[in-house]
Amino acid sequence: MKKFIYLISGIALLMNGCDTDDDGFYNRVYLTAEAPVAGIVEENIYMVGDPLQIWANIPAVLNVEGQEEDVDIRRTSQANVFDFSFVLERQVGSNWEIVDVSSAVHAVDGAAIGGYFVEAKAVYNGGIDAYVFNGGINILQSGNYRLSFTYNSELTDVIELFSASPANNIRINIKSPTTQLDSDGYFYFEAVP
Amino acid sequence: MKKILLLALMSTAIGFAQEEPTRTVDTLDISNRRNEIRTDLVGIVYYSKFNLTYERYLQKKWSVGITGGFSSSKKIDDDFDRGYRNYRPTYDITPFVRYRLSQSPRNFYFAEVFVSANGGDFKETVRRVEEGVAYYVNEKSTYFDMGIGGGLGYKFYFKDQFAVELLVSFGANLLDTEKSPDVLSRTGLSIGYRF
Repeated sequence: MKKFIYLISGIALLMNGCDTDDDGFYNRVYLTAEAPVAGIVEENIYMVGDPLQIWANIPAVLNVEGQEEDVDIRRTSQANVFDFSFVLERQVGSNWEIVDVSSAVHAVDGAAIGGYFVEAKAVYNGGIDAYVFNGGINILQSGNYRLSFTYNSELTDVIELFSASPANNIRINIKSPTTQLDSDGYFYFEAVP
Repeated sequence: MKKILLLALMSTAIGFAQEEPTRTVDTLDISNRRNEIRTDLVGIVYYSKFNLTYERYLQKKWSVGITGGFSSSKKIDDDFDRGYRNYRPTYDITPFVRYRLSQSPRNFYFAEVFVSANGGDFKETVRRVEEGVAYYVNEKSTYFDMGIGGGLGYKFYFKDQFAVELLVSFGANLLDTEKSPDVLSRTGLSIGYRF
């Protein structure tokens, strides 16, 4: 009896994992923008007290890689906001330590919530029919820094943005190409006094 | 007169007493209970799948039956709406044939083969183009499929009437697999009544 139960339990477990229709998420659309829609405002020199500026500008009708027609991402997602996130680290000795930017984060367009990472929100602007974020982090201390966009993303060669779609609507993941990050997904800079 | 009445009553009593063992053997023995109804408790509790099975025991070790199932699960509905799954099974009708692998009719292993007619809802994200601009939209449709499968089970009775059945049985849909689930499962723990 025991052998029989083990046998049929084993079969049951094996077969339960076999249904390929029941995997993953089906309300998602993955798009890669033809041109960058988010990035870093690069400066020749970063002074303590200056902001490190981040931007996002996602046209509501987006030119995407591999498709002949532009894609209406607002109609698809019904979203008013696209989220993305970034993390600032400072070199301490040979280590990189995450910087708490709670009091240093700001947003001119859109919104930003700071802590040990920044959750940035590119908000839809009907005047230009695009989702916009302009903001960043004030550098409060001199030293070597690096910035990454991988807090909510595993990809290191693009910046990922996610639509904050209303419940049960299609969610869009946009990959924004970038040349500003190294192969590990970091942007390095030095802040001087 | 009293003697005649007493004799008549005694005769009747003896008659009943003589008939009783025959009645026990003929109608209460499990082999003479050829019909069974049951329901799968695992399906009801975990998947909100209400189901009823009728099984008819034939000569020797064979039996045939049919299961009807209807799903109404809030979790499956929510997962379907949120996009965690792209199909929602709603009904299935499953005729089956079984063969008893053990000698005892009171507790035994069995093998079954089944066919299934099953259907439900399907959802997919499709790309549309309107006035030169593309967009995506979720579209719902329904599916119907037929599948076949087989499995093994164990069943025992208490009081020769009440059945407990453990079944692990799987199959595959054959016709509309783009929409319907690939795998059909009849795994469950059922209780039933044999009469």
